[in-house]
Amino acid sequence: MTADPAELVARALDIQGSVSLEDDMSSLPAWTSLTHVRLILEIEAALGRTLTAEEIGSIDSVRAVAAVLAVAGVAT
Amino acid sequence: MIGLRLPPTKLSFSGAVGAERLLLLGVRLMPRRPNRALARDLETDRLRLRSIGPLRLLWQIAPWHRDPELMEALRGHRGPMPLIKWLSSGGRPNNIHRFCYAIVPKGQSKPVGVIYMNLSWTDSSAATHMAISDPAWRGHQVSVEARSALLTLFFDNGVTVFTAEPRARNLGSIFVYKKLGFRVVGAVRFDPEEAEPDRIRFVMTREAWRERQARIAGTAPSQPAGPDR
Repeated sequence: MTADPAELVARALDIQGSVSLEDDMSSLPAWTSLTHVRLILEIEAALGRTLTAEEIGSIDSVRAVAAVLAVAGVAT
Repeated sequence: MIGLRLPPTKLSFSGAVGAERLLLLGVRLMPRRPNRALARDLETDRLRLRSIGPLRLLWQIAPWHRDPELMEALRGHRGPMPLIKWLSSGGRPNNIHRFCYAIVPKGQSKPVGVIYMNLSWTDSSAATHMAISDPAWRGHQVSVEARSALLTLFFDNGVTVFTAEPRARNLGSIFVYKKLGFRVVGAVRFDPEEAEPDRIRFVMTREAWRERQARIAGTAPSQPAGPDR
């Protein structure tokens, strides 16, 4: 199963427009504490496992999401 | 060991350690006046942060024991918690080392949460904990706004570093620390027998905070209004 990190973030944050690899918590107003929970759950669903504490602590941008997915070999 | 000169004695090593501990205990027990610079009300764009004492805190948080989401986030307790256990599980503000603020949206009288700020005994480092008890106000940047104001206040009054160790699955809290620019410095193993660490350790120094505030001054977008009522 593969997952595009920008699409995954857009889906979790319910963003209708485009999300780029350069976006992060500061550039996306829709990235709130509630949507952050949804994002973590979406990533775990894509990976098929629970994220480690280190992975959870690293996620603050689309690029960070891509890095987590790439390590697991599911990023497109 | 701590830079203080002990009087010359012929104590053994264990005796010297015991003497040092007694000295530290004595310093800790010395009566201190409330810190008025920190135990005060603040205002932000959307919020009033009201300094509260132990009785008002107990009155405000007592009903929280029935909220399973809060108990899970604050205590790692699944489901509602017995009231006595909940009320006896946390520290009480004393406005010397422990401070507590009720979070009251402007235009309202009822608090929607509380925020704790705890100083170390040297007053140079601190930690913060908070909870939003009103679900309608979660996800509206209240935590970020309230903490941001208090971080500035505490850094301006002697604190040089803030630390935080939220549970790894307290995702809302982790988001707030990341949003505020706290740096991840490690994962803390809560139970040595567990395979995965249970907490994430964050740090924010006074210098980093001031640099961050200077960087965003004048460029931050306006805060969202809040939940529709």
